[in-house]
Amino acid sequence: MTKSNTATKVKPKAGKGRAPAAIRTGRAMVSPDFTSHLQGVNEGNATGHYERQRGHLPDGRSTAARSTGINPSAHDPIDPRMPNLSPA
Amino acid sequence: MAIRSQKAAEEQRTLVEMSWDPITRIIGNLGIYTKIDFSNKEVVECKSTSSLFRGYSVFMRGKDPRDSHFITSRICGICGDNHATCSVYAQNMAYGIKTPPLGEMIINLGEAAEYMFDHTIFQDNLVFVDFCEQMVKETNPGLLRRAETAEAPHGHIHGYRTIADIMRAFNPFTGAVYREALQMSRLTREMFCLMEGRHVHPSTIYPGGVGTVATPQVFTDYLVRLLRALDFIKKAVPMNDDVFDFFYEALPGYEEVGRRRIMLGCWGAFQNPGVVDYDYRTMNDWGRAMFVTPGIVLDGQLLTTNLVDINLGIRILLGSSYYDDWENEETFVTRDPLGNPVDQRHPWNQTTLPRPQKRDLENGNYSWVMSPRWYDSRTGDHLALDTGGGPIARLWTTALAGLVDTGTVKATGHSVIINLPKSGQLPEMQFEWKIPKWSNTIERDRARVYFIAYAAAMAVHFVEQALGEVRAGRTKVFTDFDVPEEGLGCGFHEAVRGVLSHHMVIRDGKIANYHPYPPTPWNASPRDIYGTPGPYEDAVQGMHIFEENGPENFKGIDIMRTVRSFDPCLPCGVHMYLGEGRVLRQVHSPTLGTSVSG
Repeated sequence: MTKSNTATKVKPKAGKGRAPAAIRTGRAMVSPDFTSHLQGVNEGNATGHYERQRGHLPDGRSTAARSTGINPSAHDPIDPRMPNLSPA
Repeated sequence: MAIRSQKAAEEQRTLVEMSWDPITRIIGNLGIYTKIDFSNKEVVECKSTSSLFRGYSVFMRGKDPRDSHFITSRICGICGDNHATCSVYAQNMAYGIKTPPLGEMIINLGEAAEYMFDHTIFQDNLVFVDFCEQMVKETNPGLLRRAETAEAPHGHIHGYRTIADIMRAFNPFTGAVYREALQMSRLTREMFCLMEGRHVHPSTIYPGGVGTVATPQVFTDYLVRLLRALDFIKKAVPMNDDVFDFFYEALPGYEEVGRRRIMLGCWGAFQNPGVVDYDYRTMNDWGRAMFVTPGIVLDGQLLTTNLVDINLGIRILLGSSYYDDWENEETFVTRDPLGNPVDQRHPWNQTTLPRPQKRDLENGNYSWVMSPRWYDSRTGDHLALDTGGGPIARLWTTALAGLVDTGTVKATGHSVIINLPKSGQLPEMQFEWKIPKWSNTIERDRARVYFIAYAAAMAVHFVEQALGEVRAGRTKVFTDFDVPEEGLGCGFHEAVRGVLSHHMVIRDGKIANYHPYPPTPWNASPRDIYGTPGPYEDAVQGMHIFEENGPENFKGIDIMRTVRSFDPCLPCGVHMYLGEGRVLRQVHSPTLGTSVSG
């Protein structure tokens, strides 16, 4: 048998709203809803992002411009009937 | 195993209290406390406890909803990707977006690889330790003697002549099956990482799609590994059948071990890219189009396959759990998007109020797990559904619904036919999982290997579909979205060991309420407010004991096989809180490769 963790008892403070239980926690370093996304910074998920990026066609296909900015057309298929599989 | 040795005279029977806490070979802190009548070889009472509190639903509040799949993935170290996927489904609904078809196939391929990986490692490296030669020698020597002379009916496929040969191959660290399964788990994890970036916390799946770059190579790399895995699976299915059939034959009555009323729940897996739009109002349609059909099976009958009904029937009860009731707390959702009323005990309206206290197994609270139930509106019953470790419920609902037909997998209404193509060593093979007579320990374990085959067959289908999309040049895998100020989402998926739901409410662009409900809270739940025992308790209680050992060197192998047949996993159920109590260290349970008695 081992002894329980040496946690000190902390009484819930009065006037701080409802304390669910006397669970001992550390000092909060940030608030739980501290933003992880800053306003004004472009976000990968933002609408219009797909259209703004080069090489992404409106019908869901893509060209080599998606993968490279250096002479991308040289990486497109030589026959237009071929699928355009841009390099990873 | 702790033997209290105090004998309590209850109902004129001599009961011995025996406990296994923690139960090994699972993660988390599951304890099983039983009262056993050794003279009648019966488990009279069983209680399942957990000393683990997580509090995800507490600290998710106020966070950016876009982070939820990254955070909830950390609930578990083995099926984190299931949580991430389920969270993505819930977010898609809340944001009103859908993943492009190729992105959906990539997620399906990743999840198929996860099922193959996790079921294999659990079955061959953990479950089979309970069925290996060493263990059987210690618990049922008579059975092992019989196994030495019992021919394995499918020996020509898997290469083991007798059942005892298979049992020797199950021996931990030294057995051939044990070691090959470890190799397999590496291979299937590589498959997973090709699709979702990293195992077990995926780095490339997001709401709206995936970050995996869809090239022909990524799919062919996956396919090469899949074909190698097929060789292993084609041998594993008949080998499992041989062992489990032998148990039925050699131990008459073994079907009663772990048997409980057929009350199975499956929340569906593998979205159909052509149908799914993540709109709550059409959830019934796209739910039924999933490649593992969602549903509830009661006494062998399919009650529903409608995800809306399934969603609205979920009730989170208390009764024996360390929480305060939230009956008078805020109601976040009064009606769903279809106008149906939503109960205060539904996850959308749950407020988690932890109340740590001393464990009282006799008349009080004894677990951090709550008691999820499904409300049957026809009878007014709160059903303690179980998942049977996942596969048995998935195969059962899919078989009865008869909706899945991809060529590689066909649900017939009474069975599921699985076709596996030619692979490196073995020709094309077909397996048929038939609905069993019982929901018991052996059938839960048997269904697991069949579902590995199911997942592999579905992976073959998905990889062909995905390569078709790539060859057509349709390589879009991501959809843009904006986070709404207000939103509501629910995701339904199958974690490896069963039902998984994530419920989310967004307000002011932040998470107002978030509740993940994974399979183990369903399976390991304690007695609810109505006194209904949870599935583990129910399955073990009243069980006949086949172990040949007496109380002095009792290992509880039948109880352990039963609990482990549910694929128990608790970290997602409820961080270690020790409170004023003590942790018992005088514990043993059947241990890997040792003959030291407990």
